[in-house]
Amino acid sequence: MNNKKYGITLNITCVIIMLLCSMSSLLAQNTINGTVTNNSGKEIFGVIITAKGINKPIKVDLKGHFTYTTNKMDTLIIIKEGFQKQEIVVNQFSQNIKIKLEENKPFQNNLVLPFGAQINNEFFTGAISGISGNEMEKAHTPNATNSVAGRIPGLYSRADYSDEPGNDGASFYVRGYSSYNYTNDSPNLYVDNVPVSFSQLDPLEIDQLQVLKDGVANGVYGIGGANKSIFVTTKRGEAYNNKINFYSSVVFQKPVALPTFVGSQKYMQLYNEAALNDGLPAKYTQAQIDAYNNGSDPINNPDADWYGDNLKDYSVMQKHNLSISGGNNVVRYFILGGITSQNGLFKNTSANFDKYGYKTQVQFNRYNLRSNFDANITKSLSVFVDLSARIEESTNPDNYSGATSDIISNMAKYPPNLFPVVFSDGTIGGNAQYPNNPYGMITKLGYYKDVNRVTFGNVGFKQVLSSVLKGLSASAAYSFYNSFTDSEGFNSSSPTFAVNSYTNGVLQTVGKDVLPTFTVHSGAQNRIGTFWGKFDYSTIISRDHKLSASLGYSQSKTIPNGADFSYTSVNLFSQEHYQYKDRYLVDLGLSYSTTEVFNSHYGFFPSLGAGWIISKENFMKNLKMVNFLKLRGSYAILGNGDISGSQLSRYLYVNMYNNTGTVYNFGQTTTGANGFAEGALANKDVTWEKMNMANVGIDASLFNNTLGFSLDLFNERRSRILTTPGNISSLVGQTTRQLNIGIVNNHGIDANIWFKREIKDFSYHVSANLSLNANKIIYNAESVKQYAYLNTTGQPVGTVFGLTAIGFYANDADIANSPKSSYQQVKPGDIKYLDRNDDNVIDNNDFAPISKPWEPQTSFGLELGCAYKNFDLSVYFQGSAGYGVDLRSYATYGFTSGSRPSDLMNDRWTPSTAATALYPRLSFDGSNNYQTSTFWAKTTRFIRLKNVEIGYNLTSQSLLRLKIKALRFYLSGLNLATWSNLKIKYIDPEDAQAGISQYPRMESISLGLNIQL
Amino acid sequence: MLNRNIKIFMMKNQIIYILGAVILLAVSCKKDFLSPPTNNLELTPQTIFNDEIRTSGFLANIYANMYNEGIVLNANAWGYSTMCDEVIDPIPNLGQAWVNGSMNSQISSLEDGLGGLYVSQYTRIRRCNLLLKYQDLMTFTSTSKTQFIGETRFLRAFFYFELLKRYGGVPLVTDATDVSSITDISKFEEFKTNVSRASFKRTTDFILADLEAAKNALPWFPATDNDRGRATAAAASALKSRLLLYAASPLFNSSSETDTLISYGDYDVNRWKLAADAAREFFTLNSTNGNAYQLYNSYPNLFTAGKDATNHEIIWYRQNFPYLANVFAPGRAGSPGNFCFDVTANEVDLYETNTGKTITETGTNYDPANPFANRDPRLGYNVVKNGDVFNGFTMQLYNGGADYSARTVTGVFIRKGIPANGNVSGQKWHYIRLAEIYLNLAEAINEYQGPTAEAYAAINATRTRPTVNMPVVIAGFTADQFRTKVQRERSVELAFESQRFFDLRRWRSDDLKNDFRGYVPVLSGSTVTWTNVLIYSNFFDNRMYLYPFPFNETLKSPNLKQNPGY
Repeated sequence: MNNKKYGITLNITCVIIMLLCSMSSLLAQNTINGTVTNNSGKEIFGVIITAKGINKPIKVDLKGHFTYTTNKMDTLIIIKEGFQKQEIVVNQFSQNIKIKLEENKPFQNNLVLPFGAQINNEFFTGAISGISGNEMEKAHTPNATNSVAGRIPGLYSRADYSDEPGNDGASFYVRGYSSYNYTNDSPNLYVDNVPVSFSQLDPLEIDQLQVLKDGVANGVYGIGGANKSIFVTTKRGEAYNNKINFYSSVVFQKPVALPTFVGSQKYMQLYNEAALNDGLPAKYTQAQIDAYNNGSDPINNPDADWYGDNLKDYSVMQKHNLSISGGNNVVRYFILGGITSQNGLFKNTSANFDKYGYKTQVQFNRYNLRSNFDANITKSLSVFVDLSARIEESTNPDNYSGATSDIISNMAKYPPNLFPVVFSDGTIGGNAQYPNNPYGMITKLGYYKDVNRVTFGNVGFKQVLSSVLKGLSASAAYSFYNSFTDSEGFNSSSPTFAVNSYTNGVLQTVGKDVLPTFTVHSGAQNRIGTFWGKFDYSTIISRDHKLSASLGYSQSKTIPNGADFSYTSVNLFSQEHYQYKDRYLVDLGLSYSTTEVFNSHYGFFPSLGAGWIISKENFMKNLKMVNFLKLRGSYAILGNGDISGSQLSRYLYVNMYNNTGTVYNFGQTTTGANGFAEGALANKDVTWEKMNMANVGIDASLFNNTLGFSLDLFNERRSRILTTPGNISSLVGQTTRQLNIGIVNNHGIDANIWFKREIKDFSYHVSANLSLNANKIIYNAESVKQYAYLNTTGQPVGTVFGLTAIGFYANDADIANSPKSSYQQVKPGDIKYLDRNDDNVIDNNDFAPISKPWEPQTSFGLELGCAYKNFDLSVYFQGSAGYGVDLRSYATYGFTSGSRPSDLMNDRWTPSTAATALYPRLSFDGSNNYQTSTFWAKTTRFIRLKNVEIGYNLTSQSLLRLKIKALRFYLSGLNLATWSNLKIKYIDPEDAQAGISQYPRMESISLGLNIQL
Repeated sequence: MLNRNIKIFMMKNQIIYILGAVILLAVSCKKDFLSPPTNNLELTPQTIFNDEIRTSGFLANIYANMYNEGIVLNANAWGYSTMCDEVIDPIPNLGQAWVNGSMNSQISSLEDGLGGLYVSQYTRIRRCNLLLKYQDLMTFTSTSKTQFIGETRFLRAFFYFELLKRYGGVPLVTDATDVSSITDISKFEEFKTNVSRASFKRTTDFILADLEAAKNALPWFPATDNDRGRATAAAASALKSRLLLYAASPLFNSSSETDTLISYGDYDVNRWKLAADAAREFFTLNSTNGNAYQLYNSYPNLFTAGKDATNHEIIWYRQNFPYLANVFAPGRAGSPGNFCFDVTANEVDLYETNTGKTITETGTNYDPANPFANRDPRLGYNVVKNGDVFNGFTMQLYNGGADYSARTVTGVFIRKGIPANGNVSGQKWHYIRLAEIYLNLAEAINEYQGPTAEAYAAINATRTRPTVNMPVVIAGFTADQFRTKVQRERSVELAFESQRFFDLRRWRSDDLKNDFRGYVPVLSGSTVTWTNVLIYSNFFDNRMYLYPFPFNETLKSPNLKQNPGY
């Protein structure tokens, strides 16, 4: 009803305006000619000019010229992304006007904070770093978590998942770890204030990804603030900035490098060597080995190329997007539809297509849809309705999730000489010991598919209450997120395929083909419902005093799949911002919040920030080189209320007695009795982990805004970390629930620096960022150890403990004179370890810290960019340092763990190469050599040429005639080169198993097109 | 103006109302929204111990957790037989630490492995303490309550005795430690300081008190067939007999040992009298209860016929503990990958010949060429050797024979407890059976008044069992001679029942120092000859009379005094 009425009102208004316009045109009319340029006088494309009082933008041509006809005083509003908004007053006497738009100054971007708060970065006292969705798009990877590595100071990332389509992604954390409970220490992820991951969003629907790093930035989250947050907002329509964007790209992906394993003859020679080393008889005679020489009998004397015969050289990914955005002062919209389709590397995936109609390629398809609507219902009431939906389909060969890793593993492990990949008649090679031929796994075992459907609705309003009190408004939002994963596939309950091998010319068959059948669907569903509402009040008390304050409430409820209770949180929050003379700044945050595991026991979490914009002081006025200089600091006490565990196990205050089922049978004829037992002792006073966070930062922009930097130093102390104590006497007779006793300190630096220049048509910029952190376990109630070096207390979180390798055993005398290995009977050529406790035995008591944690503690990025006329180029380097990589894999196992030797084994220990050997002797028993030790755990650093993109942009009148506003072509590369201290080209420094027991690390070249209508 | 102010005032009020409403909404839904759905699921001491069936279940769970003292405890582990000279485990295992001298306090599995059971035993004791602590909540049938408490006190005594025989005096925990003594730092320090060992005497007396209480509370024999397996007054009396026999033995009752944590610190012959009295008391009570416990006629079936309702020899046992049957039978008689254990010559040589003389005495019919001929029939019941028919297979345990495997070190394996038909259901593990009480009596009497007629009668009770029928021991022994006789009898009768490991220690026996030998069958032509072969040299040190407290535990509790030598 209201809408209709409003519509009528609107129409009437339009008619009146039109009437007024035409009437005034009859009176004194003045046509104003104007131009809009940037500061240096260059025309800008895409400027939007509106005038107060009319509901239509003024047309601006490509040169920035416009005309405006008026007969009275009017205010023109000039808007252009990346420039400061300008308002110009004109009247019927105005002549030609030249408008120069000021580019957005550094640190003057708008920050979107939790629960709809907004503030200009200039006046904010917290630490926030971010990246735009358009920047993230440059990585051209389907999983958005892969496009932030090294781009944001303070955000650490490790691409430790493989690059398998649909199974990729990076893990990340903000400012390192401040707890040894890893799973409880990953940052909270939010998309439009809803606690969900952004990993499967299309970067083009992301407006900003902001990393909230310090206490003030996370202050309103209270009990959810200690882990820090990654806060993503999606794009919204802008009034009168109507755009239709079409993006299309084709990406060619190929493995960075695949491991190289030895061929048949070498394999057999090495096999004999390993047998000899282990005191076993040689398996192959010289005549047998020689028979593999000429390759004349590929059936009996094969040389299987598992990688070559099963993997293609490259695979293709396609991504297409259409987004429509714009609107007017009443209604604005952003709509995006996208398709991502990524193919895998396997060959022969259509083997069963004719018969059963399915392919077994590794495949990821994603369909993204988003529509964000904003509408002004009345002058004071605006609403938004965001709806998004997504389907993700991940397929892999074989009948279970994760089979790809097993297929790749078998390519690495299976011997080359026993049977061919496939016989000429199509039967598959294999035997009882090696029955899972990768070719068979790809072609014969059906497929597995996960289909994840996500629907996400987010609605809210903002009511300005200036009639009540000027500056007061109320807003609220409700969201519902539903993710449903359905598994399907084509397989049978025990699928198997026949493998054949010839032994002395006789065909042996193992297993038999079992026809696949369609699998029953099985689903899992997660739901999240959130609500928040608040009152905002902002006022300018006097010219010098500005205050804004808010008071709000939020709640969130996650209903997990399966037999578990809901995860809920409740938060009453308040946020204040005060500015004195626009240069002395104070931010205050208060939160009174809890989660479901604390039995309605609430925590109070304060945060306080202060800032000083030095550059606005009078004494700085004469210092022309300093354009902006701000000092800021913050301190907060926040909490972590996430307790892992499902069902009752996360309610730590509950003293549980359990029904243990039938436990003991009494009687001659045995009658069962139901048993009851006491459970772990409750932590009656369970409380949230407490995080004291301090941050000081400096932001500067110098030399006419051509050089700038931000530097943040932080110090955090997390106490009351939930820990199961290991130092309690067993006399208690019962374990305890986790107690709030652990302490970890963490401190570090995030910094970034940038420089940009413009010389006529040429502009370039350089920006670099660096993140460093160091943490230390202060107390974790670990079990008492005999040797101090076994303690994790005092070490960084995740420190790797292991043996210290001190070379190889030279000979039997050396073995006799050395401490005894408790792992196996060692032989010359085995790894010799340091006997740290001098007890003449090498065992786990000799473990000590040997490597940095697996997670990087140093991360950096370097971006170089330039533009000349229509061309632009950006080059992006990214790297990490000071973390551990475990080199143990099928490439280094030799013959142990059922592996086959890689070419690295050319440098194995033999009596004649003892002096230069890089790897231990070949053996079937690796229990001594493959202990966690300095031999395999390597502290690592690397730099990647992550991204290079060359673009060509076209804007011309001729295009405009075709209704095309802009056109861009680009060529982009990802993971083009990597330099690391590991020195083995096929061992990826972020994932040492890539290509060996996981899908390979991929490099890619993208060809893309962007048309803007 | 006034009007406007009123309007603003009202508007402001409106805001307050809205604000209030929102907060009210928040608060009102808060309770439901946050409170975990645990209240109706949570079991508390109140809901357990107020309810007879649940209390009974709580008690059943204590039984369920009793330590499995098997001949062998599990496939790759050990048993008390492998830890002494009864058998050899051909696959190196941690139990060998007891015979190769590497036993120390830091063996990681010591806490619960190697029979150490320190950590898990205090968990069991805590359960007993909990039940006793909450007895006031038990408002149900008072006879049931008495029964539950009696059984629990017996179980606690049993658990402490198992600690006593391994460690000497141990910390006596009589209450369920409250969580606050762990969470509260000052209390925790106090708790840590307080963990210390009671003297051997105090520990013994504590166990004795529990046993007396159980004996008074419980029936002599299970009231109904469905109660079989529950602790009885007989079990309490039998355990008291064993406790006092141990306490009187040289390891704990000696003038040369002054450490009161691991012994009485002096010698008192009267302790033997107490031991003898305890055994006598068992027989007295048994006869007043119509001789409810009697020796079972068939020695070989005693261990396998778990369901035989006429088997009234077993007094205290673990229900449903099969001897794992065929898994432990050698070669074809067992199952693939069987875990059989090689019996030593040391064990075989303990058996007398069927004339009642030992193999080294003059005038025996012992045949060194065929060491298994003319022997105490229990040898044949307890071991299976090359040439025996077992499970339908004639054993070929010589090198190259059909039953020879990597497990074959000697040619003799355990047969006791392995049913030839493979049916293991209903088998029990015997903690205490009547034969032991006779031998306890014989041993104790001899030590304080020499071999009396009562002592001879007691030792002959087990020898005259119908399926054994060994010649009776005839009066005329000195106390020393009788001691040797009764020790042999005990080792043979109770072979592979987790007794000899502890008996050798409490006797401070010289046998602890013997090397391990084995009878190995050698096939030459078509005949098998037995050769006595040294398998490996033994190592024994005085510290190995007792267990070490787990190293970790001594670090956690600075006042927990380690046993000597560790």
